Amino acid sequence: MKSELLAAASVIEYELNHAPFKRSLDPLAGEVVGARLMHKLNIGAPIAIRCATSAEAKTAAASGDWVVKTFQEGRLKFGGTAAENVLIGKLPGAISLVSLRLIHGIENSAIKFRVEGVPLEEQADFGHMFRVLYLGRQEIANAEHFFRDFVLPDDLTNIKAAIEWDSPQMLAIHAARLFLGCSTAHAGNVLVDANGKLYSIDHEICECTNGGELAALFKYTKKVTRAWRVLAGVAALEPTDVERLFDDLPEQVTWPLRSKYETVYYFLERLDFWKKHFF
Amino acid sequence: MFGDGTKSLGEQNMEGRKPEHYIYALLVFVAASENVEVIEGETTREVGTIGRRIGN
Repeated sequence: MKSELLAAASVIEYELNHAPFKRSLDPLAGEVVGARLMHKLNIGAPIAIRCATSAEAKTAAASGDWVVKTFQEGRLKFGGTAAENVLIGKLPGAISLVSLRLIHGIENSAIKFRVEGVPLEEQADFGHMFRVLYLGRQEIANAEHFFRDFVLPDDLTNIKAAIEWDSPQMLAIHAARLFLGCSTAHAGNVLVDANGKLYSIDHEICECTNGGELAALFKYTKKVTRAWRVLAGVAALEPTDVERLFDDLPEQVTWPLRSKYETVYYFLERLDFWKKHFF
Repeated sequence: MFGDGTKSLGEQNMEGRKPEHYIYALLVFVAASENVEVIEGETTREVGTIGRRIGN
């Protein structure tokens, strides 16, 4: 198994290193489209997303009901307020997997990337992915405040099952984010509530690719497995479903693919590719 | 792969994420489709150890 994973990782890494990766969505559009896609696939995701002035953002931040992101250098970042801000409605009663570990000591398992023969304490410095996926990024003090309405249930069965690296919910989130070309569903991008429902958040980075990652997905995921069956969710989408993800988004926002029309068309091509390789 | 839609992107001068951005999700599917058993690791359980640096 290890050798197979190693071989797949090597090939995937080589193939992706030769693929162009460029941002395809305006960050706000990414948040909206990402959340809408998750809802369409029955995956938990933010419901309320809206723009805000600096004053509105300060009020929202003080209320504790919103996550405030600011436009800085063409990206959406946490912290402070700016002339243009995006408010993401807080998901009541949910906590990030990073904070679940930091505050409650409950962690999920994950595929670890590490160099054989190197002590674990030295592994944390060798790669960005390890730090993000395992160590997490959030300060515990902020997390305790922000996720204060999460109540750990006595029965942890549902939570522990949901946060496993290969749970159906987790795989569904990975699949949806791969379709979007969105950032990895690391422990800071996935929330869980007391019932064990997962939520996918932070979809502001969606990038255009040449499809290399989707080709690798279908090439290396074995058919007639539960992992393969999870890919049915995106495969079942209709072109109109993809078009509706972009409803109401203005033409005037930044569309690195030159236009909203071309961006929608790009995602329709990805859906077509997904369907052709799944069915 | 998707027509010539990506050709214009070089003009945009907007750097994207590096490939390792996607590798974790891809490996999750590879591993999950193998129906492997989770192995107890040192501080967390691991599915497999990749014996090299990813995205180096």
